[in-house]
Amino acid sequence: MDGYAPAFVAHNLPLLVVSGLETLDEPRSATPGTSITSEIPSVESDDAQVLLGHFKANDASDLAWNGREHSRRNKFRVKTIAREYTLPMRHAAPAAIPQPTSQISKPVLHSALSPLTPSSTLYPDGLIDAKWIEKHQYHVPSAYVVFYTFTSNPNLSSKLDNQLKSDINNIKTTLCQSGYKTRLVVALLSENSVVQSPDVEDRLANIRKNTGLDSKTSFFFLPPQSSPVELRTFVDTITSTIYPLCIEYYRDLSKHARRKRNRGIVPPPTAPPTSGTSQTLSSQGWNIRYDFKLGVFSEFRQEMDAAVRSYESGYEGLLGPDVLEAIASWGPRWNEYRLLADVLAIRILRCLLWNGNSTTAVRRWQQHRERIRDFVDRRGKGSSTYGWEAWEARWATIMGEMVVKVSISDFAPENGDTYLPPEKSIAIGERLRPWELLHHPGYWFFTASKHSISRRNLALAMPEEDRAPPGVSPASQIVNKSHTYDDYLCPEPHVEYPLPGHNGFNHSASIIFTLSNATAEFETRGQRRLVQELQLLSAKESMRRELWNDALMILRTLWLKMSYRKEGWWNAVEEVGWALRNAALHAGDGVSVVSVDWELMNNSFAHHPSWHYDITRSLEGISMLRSKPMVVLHNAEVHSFLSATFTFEHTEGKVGDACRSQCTVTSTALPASVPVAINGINIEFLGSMKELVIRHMSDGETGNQRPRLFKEIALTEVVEDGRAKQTGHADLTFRPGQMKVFEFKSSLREDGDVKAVSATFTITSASFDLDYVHTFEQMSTPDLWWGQAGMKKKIARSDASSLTVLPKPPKMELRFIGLQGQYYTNEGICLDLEALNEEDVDAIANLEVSLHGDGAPPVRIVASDKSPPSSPTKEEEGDLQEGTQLGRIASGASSRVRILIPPIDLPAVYELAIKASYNLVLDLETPVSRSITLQLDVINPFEANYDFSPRIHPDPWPSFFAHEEAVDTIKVVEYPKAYGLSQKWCLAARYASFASEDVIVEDIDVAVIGVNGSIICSTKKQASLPTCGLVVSPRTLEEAQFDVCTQKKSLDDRGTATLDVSLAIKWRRKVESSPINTSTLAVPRLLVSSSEPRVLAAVSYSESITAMIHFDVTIENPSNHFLTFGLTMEPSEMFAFSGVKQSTLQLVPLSRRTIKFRLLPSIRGDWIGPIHCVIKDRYFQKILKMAPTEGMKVDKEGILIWVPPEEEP
Amino acid sequence: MAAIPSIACIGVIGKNNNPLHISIFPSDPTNLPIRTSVQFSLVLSSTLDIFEARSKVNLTSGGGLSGDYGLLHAIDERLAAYGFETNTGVKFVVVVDMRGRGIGEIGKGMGSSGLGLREGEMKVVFRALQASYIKLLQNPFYDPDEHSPPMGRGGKKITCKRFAEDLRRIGESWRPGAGTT
Repeated sequence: MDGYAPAFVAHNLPLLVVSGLETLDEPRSATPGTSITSEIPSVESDDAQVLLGHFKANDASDLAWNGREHSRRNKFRVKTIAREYTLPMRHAAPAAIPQPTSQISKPVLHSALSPLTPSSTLYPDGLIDAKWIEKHQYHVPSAYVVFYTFTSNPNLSSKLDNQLKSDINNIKTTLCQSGYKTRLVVALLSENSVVQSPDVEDRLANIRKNTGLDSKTSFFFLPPQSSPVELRTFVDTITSTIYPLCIEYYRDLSKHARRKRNRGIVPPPTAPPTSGTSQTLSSQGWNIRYDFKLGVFSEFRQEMDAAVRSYESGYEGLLGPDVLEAIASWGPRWNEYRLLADVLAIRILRCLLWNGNSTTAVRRWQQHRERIRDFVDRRGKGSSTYGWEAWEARWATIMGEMVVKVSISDFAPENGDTYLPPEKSIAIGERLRPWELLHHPGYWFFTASKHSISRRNLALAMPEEDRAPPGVSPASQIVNKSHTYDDYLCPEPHVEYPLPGHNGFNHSASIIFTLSNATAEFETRGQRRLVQELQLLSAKESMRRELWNDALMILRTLWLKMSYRKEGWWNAVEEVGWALRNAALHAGDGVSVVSVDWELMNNSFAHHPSWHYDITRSLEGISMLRSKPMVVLHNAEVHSFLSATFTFEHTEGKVGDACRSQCTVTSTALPASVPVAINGINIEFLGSMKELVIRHMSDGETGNQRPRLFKEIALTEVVEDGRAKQTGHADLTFRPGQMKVFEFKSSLREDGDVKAVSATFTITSASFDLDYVHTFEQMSTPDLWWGQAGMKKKIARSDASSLTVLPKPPKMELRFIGLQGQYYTNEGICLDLEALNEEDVDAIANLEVSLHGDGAPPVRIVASDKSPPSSPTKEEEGDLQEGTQLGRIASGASSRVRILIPPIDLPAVYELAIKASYNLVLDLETPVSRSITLQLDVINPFEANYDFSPRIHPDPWPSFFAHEEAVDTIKVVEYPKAYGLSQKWCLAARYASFASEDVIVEDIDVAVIGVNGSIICSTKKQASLPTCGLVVSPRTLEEAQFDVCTQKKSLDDRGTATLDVSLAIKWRRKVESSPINTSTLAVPRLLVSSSEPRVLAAVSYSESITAMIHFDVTIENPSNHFLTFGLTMEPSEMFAFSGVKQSTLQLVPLSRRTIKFRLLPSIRGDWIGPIHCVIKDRYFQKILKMAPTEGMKVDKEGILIWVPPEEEP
Repeated sequence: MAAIPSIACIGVIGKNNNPLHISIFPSDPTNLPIRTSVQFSLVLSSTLDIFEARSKVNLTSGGGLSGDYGLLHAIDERLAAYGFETNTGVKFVVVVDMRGRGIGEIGKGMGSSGLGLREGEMKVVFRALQASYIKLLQNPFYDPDEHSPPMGRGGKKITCKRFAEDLRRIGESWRPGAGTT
């Protein structure tokens, strides 16, 4: 709205002048007028300052133009002064030089601002001047508030009160004389020490009476010692009390204006016009003037409906047939009238928006434009001039600014509405143009910027002869010019588009300014895509002004961040790209130029036939390059024509295996573009795979032109810059639309996951370096695996660019040779292990062996006898944990070792773990290992049970009645001489083989491990085994019997003795020259040498009478007692016997007796019995159990005797 | 010469805010499109701001279930964008030129800036567009995921000739107040 006088377009508020609170006056202005002065100085107290602050804060001139804000506390435009104030003159001063008229009457003086006054700018036919509004808005107050101090000094009170009275009366008089109906309001601030008393009331009443002020509306008193709240209330009371009166003041002014309008006559001017057009303002013109005044006064009263009516009436009058149509369109008045039409329209728009009639406002805005366009087309210079577009831009800007100033709550950023719904008065279903729904200011500014651009285009179309400055061009042209170009509120042609070398209007700056206004509005509402469009326009304008750096700054960020690329609006991307390239080229930003050139080669963009599309020529024509550009682009930030995918053939690979992978590079460059030669492609991996580098090497093949090329690249491993890489060479020239498939075979070194992360395409040239990083992304389409001949297969994996590397499968075979089915305790275990190298190359191996289990014995490894003599392995005494070197094993050959486990005593289960670690000769870096385990179940080969039975010792017992001299002393020394009783026992060991195969028992023996009790003991095997050993089959029972003779050392020893013996079986496997092992089986403890009497039965067969059997019963009395036994032998059906049938036997201590029977059995070849021969201790009445010896067995009922069958003759 | 509104441009925008199809129609009196195709792209793209803002509001208020966004915004006095979103996130934007079709001297009484539009007068267009789009989806060779990949970036354009033909027919035949398209 800057083309209009501020007073014309500003909203009007009642003016309130507050005097006596400020301490200093502004310097008195030189304008003549009625001066209000006062002799009483301003109030100088703290309260006065507070009140002054409140008054200033209540100023409403900066409020938004809406009823919401104006209905609050702030209602006035407040002007604070000290004591002096000048009211403007009501009438113009009489002309200094009397008009040479022949009028008789004295000339009538009019207002200085009236078209009737010759000194006015409006004279003679102007309509209204902004000064008139200024007069009412800034100079003539509706109320004049005077503050005085109300003294507390009782001595001075009457004098000062009188002074007050006269001062107030003076001001009153002055105001009255000025002709304005300004209301005087007096406010008294009492001094702090005034005591509230009737005296004060009297004084106040006196002052009031003498000044004739209304106590309710014009006379205010602030009691002493008021609180801040009271001060605030005091100010509010004053403003709210006088506000209706002030409104009344403006209503009076309205009435005055309406009266004059209704009078309907044109008042005579002070002097008739003599110069220029002699036409005076018509009555229609006067009506417009009055309507305008009425409208303004309504605005003062905040009555917007009334204001709209008045303005509309004025507007219709102005554009009616009698005013604007009637005056010459080339005169300055025409522009003035047009300006007034704009002002009326602006004021109407404001009032409509104030009342919330947004749709009506937009319609009114359009209507005004259409009417003015119509006028300009008919009466003016047409609507196809730059001046018209300038006005259109202005008109849109005004609407935008107005919407901002009206501050519609729906447009607040937090509500974020784009446009308002139709106002309530619009009928539902009415046809509405979308633009009639009031859009937020951004749209209006955007529209304005479009008109500014059209204006510039029209300006640029002006021929050169029209643009010459005045004075240069001939007069005829000036006349012509003034008929062609409309310079209403815009510069003349020579400024609008100056000739070179002249200063003129800066179109771009104005466009950029409007665009930035629009951008700010759109940005606060989050319309970032529209903002991008505006930024592009703005940057283009900057480029037009050759502000390359400004443009570059906008475009570079726009190019990087724009939503168009992400969302695939390629033509928009292209637009920004070319703009950026242009700006960067001039600003010397090589990086941007190369980046844009790279992107624009994509065939998503339109082809410009004149462009070379050669990335190597990218920097041609750039002059201000500071340094060689190093460009790094990522696929996320640029729509590149090169794209790459990386595919592993399989999901899994194994260490040591070769793994095949493909990198497919596709060029989607414009068909017309020059093939791009890449210097190298680096493929980065995450995980244990080494970086893959493909270097360019032209192969010069003509087949290079094919749309798809398949190339297998041999990789070599090198270390560059401290990093291990796999490198290969290929032709890296990519033609438009070409796809190249590179296949690699790389060997896997470490296990773990590998993921191809990115491919970096590097171009190094003399003018720039470019790295394009393509990060492999998961795609929705399945990855493809290309075959040599061009067939493809889809890979049904979600992520083909990753690979799981498994540890290497060993091809070294470990196996045992001659492994026995079963291993036994007490046997030295010897395992032959063969390590067979089935790898394709020689391997250097190392063997680790360990035996796990409870009490596992140490294991030894010795070189196998069968191993080749060249093998360096010998008996290894080294640490088995570290392993035994097996040395180099040729491919297909084997190495043998023997694992020795010493004999194990107890049956147990062990685990033998064998691990062969080896490296292949060709690939010493990759360790490979093969391990096997063997469960070793060691069992006892034999188990035995035992039978221990007494026998009759053949030696005679010592007798108390025999004497023997000790003769041989040497024997005494050698053997401890035993004097006690000798007893004979028989130990029968029945052992069974638990082995799984036949074993040969070489020998079996009983060893006395220990004796308890003072006895001596000797054992003797009854029968010896065959010399070649006894073959024992599994699960068969064998028996061996041993005689055990014990003798007490002392005859007096009556104690019990026990015997610990063990059975030792010497056995070997039934294999030639197998070693003999000794298994020792424990025998339960044997109890010998009881002091109790015992009965032993013995049987022997008669040699003379074949059928007769001798049956001897021996009673032993090893005790020191004289024992009496009863003997009864019962007859039996099975045999006849001779001998004692019934008898009593008496045994002296340490004696034995044998009772002999002769039996003649009735049967042969069978057991006979039981033999009921009962021996009973007479003293203890206890039957002694008869113990059998050889040739007998015991039944439940007694002893059975074997009768041999009758010998065949 | 009086003029009535006509469709200046129909844009079909994918789930990833990517353009799927843009049909541009000539406007009277020159019988040429009133904007270049780049400008129409920018216009269509700018409507996405409003789709975003409105869908946020709809999320909180629970409104907008029908998918019809009505007037998105008026770009200027001549062009206004209307929007519709399917429940798969495909957006139809119809840019109406308020003075796109000259009707000679018949409708002189309608004022110089053309005839307005009633609320919901674009519904027929969107219904027709939706029908065409559904027809396109029924084509077994049309894979919607190819056109708006779930990964969220860009996508192919619709190249189906019949769809383009449908859109052309819809755009050319619509006029305010017409019953069906």
